[in-house]
Amino acid sequence: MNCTQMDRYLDAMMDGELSEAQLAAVEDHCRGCAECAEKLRVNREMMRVFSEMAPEIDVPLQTQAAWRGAVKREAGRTRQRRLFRFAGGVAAAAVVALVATFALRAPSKNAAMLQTAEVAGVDEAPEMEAAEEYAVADDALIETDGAAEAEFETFDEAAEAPIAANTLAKSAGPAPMHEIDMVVEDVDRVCDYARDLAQEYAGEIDIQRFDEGGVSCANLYIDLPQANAGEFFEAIRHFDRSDANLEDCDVDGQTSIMLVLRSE
Amino acid sequence: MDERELIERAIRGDARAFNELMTAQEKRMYAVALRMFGNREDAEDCLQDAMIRIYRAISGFKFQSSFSTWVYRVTMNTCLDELRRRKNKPNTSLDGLVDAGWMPADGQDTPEQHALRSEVRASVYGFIRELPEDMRAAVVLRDVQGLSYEDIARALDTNVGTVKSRISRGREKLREKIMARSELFDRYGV
Repeated sequence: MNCTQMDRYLDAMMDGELSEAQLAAVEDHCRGCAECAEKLRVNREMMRVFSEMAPEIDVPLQTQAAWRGAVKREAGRTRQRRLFRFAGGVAAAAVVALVATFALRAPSKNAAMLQTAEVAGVDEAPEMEAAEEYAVADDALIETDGAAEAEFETFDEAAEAPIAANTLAKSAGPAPMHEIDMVVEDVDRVCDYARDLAQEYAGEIDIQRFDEGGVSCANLYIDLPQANAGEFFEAIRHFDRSDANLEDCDVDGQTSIMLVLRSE
Repeated sequence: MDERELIERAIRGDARAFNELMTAQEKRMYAVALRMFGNREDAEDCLQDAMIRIYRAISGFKFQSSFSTWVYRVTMNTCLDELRRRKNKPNTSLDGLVDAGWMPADGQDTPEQHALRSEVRASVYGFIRELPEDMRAAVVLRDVQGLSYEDIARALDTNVGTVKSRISRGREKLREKIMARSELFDRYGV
């Protein structure tokens, strides 16, 4: 044991990897070397101080409320971006209907901002002001905006479903719709396949291609006879590389599906 | 519901699954942020930013590393980005350090011992904050969070050799700083 080896042994000590024999050698060396003895003393103190630092710390409720609210707003913005992309291809009357739908669900100020964006030709929703969705009361986290978290869940819930272009053209009310994200190897190929499949299963399909951060993507809005939806999905799922569990979707009861494709 | 199922649901956009998943991670994320910044306000901002980054990126999670390691990686990157943006302006308050994240005293301390212990802890916290960012990140993940060298390498997107070197040099710097304040640690009874 010499002074050069000492530093390595101190690291091993902090990692809990020093054997009893090595520890004895360190202590033996330190009895004859004041400098290394001081290092050993400090090393033990560092270990003691670190051991008092908890690797997990209770997060204050206000902090929990802050991140949950932030994620909820982000989820809302994500949905708005999707809807704005979607709305870009439909008639002006349909877009107005879409904005009106938002107005019913968002605070009036946010609705005004959306309309402003629409008039200005902005294709994405502007950053909304922070809204208090969570608050702390009686040492508990509560939601204050009256909206259940399901609002920004998958679009499984009929009441929360976005409105498809063809649906808007046909009727004023929203149709039940599933949104399913899929990662695929070749977006073009899957679009072609989905078009053929939709025809084969007597459905209608509207395909919108776009780029997101250099990644090739597509939104596929599909209307299918209920009886054919299951088979359609069985066929399309072979292209899915994300291992999405399509069985979670109650396709038997649905006729409108939105597939969001992204290339790998 | 196990973690993998929660992740898969979160990837598909299930917000409840995402919240449940991240509630299990938030204490560790917050601890990392507190150790990197040294105050509650910045730690809260960092936690919030990291949560949003994870929300945006979770669809790209490929199960090639453990989820918690990936979460550490995003959290640490969020901290480092913010620290680099600010050019690491000192922003550590004694009160913030002492009451944020230390295990409670065992109740055996006299008031004087308690005050001394707090001062020692704050000093070490301050020394950690004075380390270069990359070194600080490695030391926090190893000596406070208890991650393996391999997981730290994944979290910091570097190799194990670099991690070991950063930690070793970081510890050496801490020893030097502690020795320079030896009068405080002598009173503490080391």
